[in-house]
Parts: sequence; C-alpha cells; structure tokens
Amino acid sequence: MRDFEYSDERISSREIMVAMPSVVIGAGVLSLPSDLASITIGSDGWISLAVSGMTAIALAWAIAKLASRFPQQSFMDYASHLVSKPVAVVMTFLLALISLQYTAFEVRQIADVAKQYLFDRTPLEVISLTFLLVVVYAVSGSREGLFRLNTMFLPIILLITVGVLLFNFGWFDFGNLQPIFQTGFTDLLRGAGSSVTSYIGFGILWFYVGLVKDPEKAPRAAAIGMSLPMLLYVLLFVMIVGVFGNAATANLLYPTVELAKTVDLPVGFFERFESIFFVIWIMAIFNTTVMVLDVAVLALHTLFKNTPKIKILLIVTPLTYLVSMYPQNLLEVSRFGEIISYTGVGLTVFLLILLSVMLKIRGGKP
Amino acid sequence: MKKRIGLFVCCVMSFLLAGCWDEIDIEDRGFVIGAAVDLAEDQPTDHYTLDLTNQFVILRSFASSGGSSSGGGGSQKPYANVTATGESILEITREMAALAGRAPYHEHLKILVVAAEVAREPGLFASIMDLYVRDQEMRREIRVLISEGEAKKIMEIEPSGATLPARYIYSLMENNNKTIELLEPVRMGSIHEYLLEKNSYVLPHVQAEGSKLNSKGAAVIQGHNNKMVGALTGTETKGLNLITGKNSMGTIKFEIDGQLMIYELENMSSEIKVDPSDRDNIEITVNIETEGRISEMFGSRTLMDESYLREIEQHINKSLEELANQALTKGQEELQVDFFGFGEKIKQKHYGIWTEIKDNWDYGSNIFSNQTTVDITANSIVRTIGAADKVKD
Repeated sequence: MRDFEYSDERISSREIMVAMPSVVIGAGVLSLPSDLASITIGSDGWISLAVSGMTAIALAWAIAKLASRFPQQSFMDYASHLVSKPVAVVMTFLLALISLQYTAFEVRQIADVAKQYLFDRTPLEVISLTFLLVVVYAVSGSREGLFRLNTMFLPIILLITVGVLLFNFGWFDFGNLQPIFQTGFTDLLRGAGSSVTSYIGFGILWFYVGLVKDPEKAPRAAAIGMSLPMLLYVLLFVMIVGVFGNAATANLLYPTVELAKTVDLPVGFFERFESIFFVIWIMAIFNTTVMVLDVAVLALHTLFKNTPKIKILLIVTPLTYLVSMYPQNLLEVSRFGEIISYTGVGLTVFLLILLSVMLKIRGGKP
Repeated sequence: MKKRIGLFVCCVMSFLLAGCWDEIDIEDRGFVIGAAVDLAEDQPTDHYTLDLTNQFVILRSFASSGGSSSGGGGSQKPYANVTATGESILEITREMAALAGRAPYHEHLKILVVAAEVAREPGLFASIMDLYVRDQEMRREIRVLISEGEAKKIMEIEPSGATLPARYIYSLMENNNKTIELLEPVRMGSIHEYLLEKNSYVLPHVQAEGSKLNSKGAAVIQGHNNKMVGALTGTETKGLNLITGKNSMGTIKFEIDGQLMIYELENMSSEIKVDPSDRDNIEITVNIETEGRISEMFGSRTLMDESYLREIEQHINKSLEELANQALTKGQEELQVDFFGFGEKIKQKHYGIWTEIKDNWDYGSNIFSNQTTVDITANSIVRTIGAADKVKD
C-alpha cells in the first residue's frame, strides 16, 4: 500500500465540523431509542436526548477551545507542557486504548446487526474481519483522505435518514407520543446518562484540532458539528415512538432498523427499503470506525515516533479484532459498550478539568 | 517475477470476492405470502398442537404464463398451500421446508389468519404472535385476521381474476378499509403494542364461504388473558368505527316520515374526552362529527327546505347515536371489555390516575363497565342532496 500524498495533512475547521457528526453517528443510534424508551414514559425521552446533547455540545466546544490554545501542536506536546511528560504519555496511551476499544465495539455492533438482518449464515467472525480490513485499508492511507470521505458520506447519510423519517409519516400516530411530561426528574437524568453514550466521539478533538489550519474557528465548528446528531437523534426518537409506541420501542432491539423496515411505499422497489438503509448505515459506521481507529493510531504514533504509522496499525488491528470477538452474546456486547462509553466520557471530563486547571496555572504558550 | 505474483494474487482475489455466504437462488426460496393457523384435530400432548398452512408462491407458473411461449405449465396454479402439524410455529416451518422442498421465506408475508378456535384459548394467540414479531424476517406490516371456522379455508378462496388468494384478501382489506362496516386492517406491529400494554382490541373477523370472503365484523380480544371473548356484528362494527372515528366511508339508513332515507358519509371524525377525576364515576364523552349527503330517498318531499333539512339532520344524529350506543352496550355490558381505546385515552391524558386504575380497568373489579359513564352525541351536517331535488312527486 503506497501512501497518497495529498497535501500537508492539514485540515480546515470546516472539516472538523463534518468529522464531528460523522464520528458520533454510528452503531449506537440503531439501538438507542430502545434503551431510552424503557427508562422514560411516553415520548419524554427527547428531553433526555436534548439534555445529553447539550452536554456533548458543551464538552466538544470546551475540548476544542482548550486544544485551539495550542495551534499546530499535538496532544502530546501541549499535555506535556501542562502536566509534565510522563503524565502526558499515560494520558495519550489511555486515550489510544479507549479509541481502540471503541473501534472494537463498533466493529462488533455492525457485525451483529448485519448478521441479524442481512447475512443469516455468514459467521460473525467473517463479517467483522471483512469490515475491519476495509477500515484498516482506509486508515493506512492519507488522513486528509479520511476527512474527504467524511464530507462525501455525510450528506448521503443525512439524506437516507430524512428519507426514513419522511416515508414513515403515514404510520405516525400522535396518540403514541402521549402522555407527555410524566417522567420524573431522576428518570430523565438516567435517560440522559444512558444516551450520552450515543454522543461519544468528542475524544477525536484532542488530536485533530492540532491539525487545523484555522484553530480559532475550531470550537464553533465542533459545537455546530455536534448539534447535528442531537437534532437527528431527537427527530428519530420522536418518530420511532410515534410509529411504534413507547412499549414496543422499548422491546425492540434495533428500533431504528425496524423503522427502516416499516417503510412501505407503493412502488415495488421500496418494499425493502431497509436494504438501502443498511448500505448507507454501514457507511456511517465505517466513518465512525475509521476516524476512531485513526485517532488511536495517531495517538500511538506520537508515543512511538520512530515506528512508521503502517506498522503501528498492523500491530493494533489484530488486537482490536480479538477484543471485538470477545463478548459472547448480546448482553455482553451491550455491557462492553456501556463500559467503554462511560469510561470514555469519564476520562474526557477528567482530562478537560485537569488540563483546564493546569492551563490557568501555567498559562498558554510554551 | 514480482509482476507475476501480483497477477496471481489478483486472480485468486477475484475468486474470493465473487463469493457470497448467504446466497440462495430465487428458485430455491419458498416465498410465503399468506399463513393460516388452526388447532389440530387431535391434541396428543399437554401443549397445544397446531396446524400451520403456508401459502407458497410458485414462481415457475408465473414465468410460463407470462411468457409468450405456450409452455405446459400455464394451467398450473400459481400457488401451493402446504399444511404441517406441530407444537411450535418455527418447528412446523422447518418441517415444511422438507415437505415443500424449499426453505420458507417470510419477507413477503402479507396476511396471517388465525382460527377463532385458536384465539379463544387463553394465551395461545399471543404465543403464536411471538414468532411473527420476534423473527427478523417478518415485517411489522403483516395483517392479522381472525377466521370463523377453519383458517385454512381462507387460503383456498379462489377469486375470479385475481391470482393469489392471500394477495386478493390483502388488497380487499386495503381497498375496503374506508368502509364503515369493516374494521381497519390490524398490523402485526400494533398487536405487539397491544400485547405489551395488555390492551383489549379488535381484529377483523372473516369467514370463507365457497369462493367468497365474508366479513363478519370484528373479533374482540381481551387484553388481560389474550383470549377472544366475543365478536361484533357488522352493525356493531359500524358503531365502533363511529366511536373511534376510524373508517369514514359508508351509508347510514334511517327512517323519516315513515320512509327510508340514505345518508352517505363523506367525512367523519370523533373526539373522545375523558374525565377520570371522580374515581367512582369516570365520565367519557364521545362527540361524533359527520358530513355527508342525502343520496337516496323513498319519500317525495322537497329537500330544499331549511327546516326539513334540520329535521333530517336530527334523525341522522339519532341513528348515529343509536349505532354507537349499540356497540358500546356490547362492549361495556355484555363483554365487559374496553376495545374502544378509552383506557388508552386515559393513559395519554391522565397518566397518574391511569397507573392506579390500569389493573382493574376492564378486568378484575372492571372499572370500565361498573364505574364509567359514556355519553355519546352526534352532530351531522347534510352538505348536499345530489343532482336533483325531487325525483318523483
């Protein structure tokens, strides 16, 4: 595999804006409405989604703001400046580890869903391996290329989502949304807690903001990029509860896929709309996985400067594959996802607070 | 040398890329388009033994009758009904794969007919629904019907003109779903909701009569034990549709001055208001609004008369209220089951009260039939009287 040399591996803040939703929208949204509906009453889950979405936007903005104080610097550089080199190494390593785990989780999720709905008899191992190999191929190339791929795929993903929303309007029943505002405060917070996992992905900002040509615009771009998934999730959730009702939504494993299956237009071609939906959604998950794996490789590359990127990639990929195959059943996969999400959010918040405090103490420029 | 190795790898790769693990040729798939569930004649074990009839589409006969060449398969039926017996639906389906010579494929399943006999056993109907909701091959758009007598017979109805019985029944239900005597088709997805919420509900009730499908109104399923507890006649279904405001096309026959007159509905809606504040007497008001025209009359008075039109409207209101009350009486007093969705309305509007009463709503101490008053009023407008005023004098 030869390296494509596009440009100087620098990106614009607009590309950060596109990368944000590309990373965030992934496998999580396929099952998200189900967890949320089981916690909340009626259609109240959208409040939880909005709350966690706002939190995610705030986090993304804060991370980008912090990182943009150190233009053209890698995470390793500015973290070393703020909290000494050994601590920075540990941090980078932890972030890389979480990213790898997240890659493994995404691979497993897409393989599970694809096996359930598309490939009945193909072994799970083969589906995930095929997917992972494509991801590896993408990551081994130019980073700039990945951002271009994001920009190319995102409109298609949004288009298909809007399609799923519109074509289901015939089944939408306002009665299903009621009762409204009946969920207690604690349950709403619990819902927000469980849905914050669907917004995970702001971790990429720690590393990518350093590549941005116009860092002063990065915080705004990150926040705008993050608000897109929030809007999408709220719309999807309301639509799904409106079509299936709260109880059925809570009892479907992948309500979003079922929503795509419900699309039934008189034109024969659209009788199996979910097959198109799947193709597009695999693109969404591909984007997520590629970005997350790339961040992991980038992080490790700053630790092992002398090892070529491709070598790092080829070392971590088999490990990722093994981890993704480790959970034995559905319950273990979802527990695996929860653990990664919560540690991811926890680590991000911890880093944000620690680095911000140190920034106040030590000041900006090294 | 390097070039040759590259070429070799490319060749091997192209073989690998062309493979598909899940490939099944379309000829090998048994497309199931309709299914019917009956209770088997002998019940050897403690579990229910069921008869499942799947209607397979035979693609070959489609191909040969469609083509211009006069093949021998033209007279062949385009479908085949295969029946097998067993205790679980999946088990029967597997067995059927051996009988039919191809694996049943349910992605195109349109209707599921369950015999009333099956639905009358407590819990059995819900257990049958399980596979049809759980299996990812099934769609939530499968329409579910209850048949009086053998469900298998429904799959044998051969309509003139149409090719597949299952598709014929499906389109019949879809196209007639505006008619007020018929129930709106019920989707598998809705049944999933009803089962989870333990709501009582109604399903279309049909019967096969020779080569004709007879609609018998609606089958009432009690939510608490998932059991068919009764059936509504066509007239009662009309009343039910008036209360729920579902199907808006149809005619109302009434008498005025001793002569018949027909009011054709063009638009109908209903508004249900619930007031559960007094727990011992929950008040429900149903307001039915209709618009329509006089399309047939046996008398000969002029209709271009304001006061006479008012009088006609009064008569229409009265007969609408009578129809609705008939259905209500059946539900509230005779069957003591709330299939009108009043409970759902209370849940939507007064969630706090609903959580307290839901276990005794149409079950247990049955608040619905003992402590609930339903008041139905109708309000009709005659918009037009057709192309002529008086036809005879």
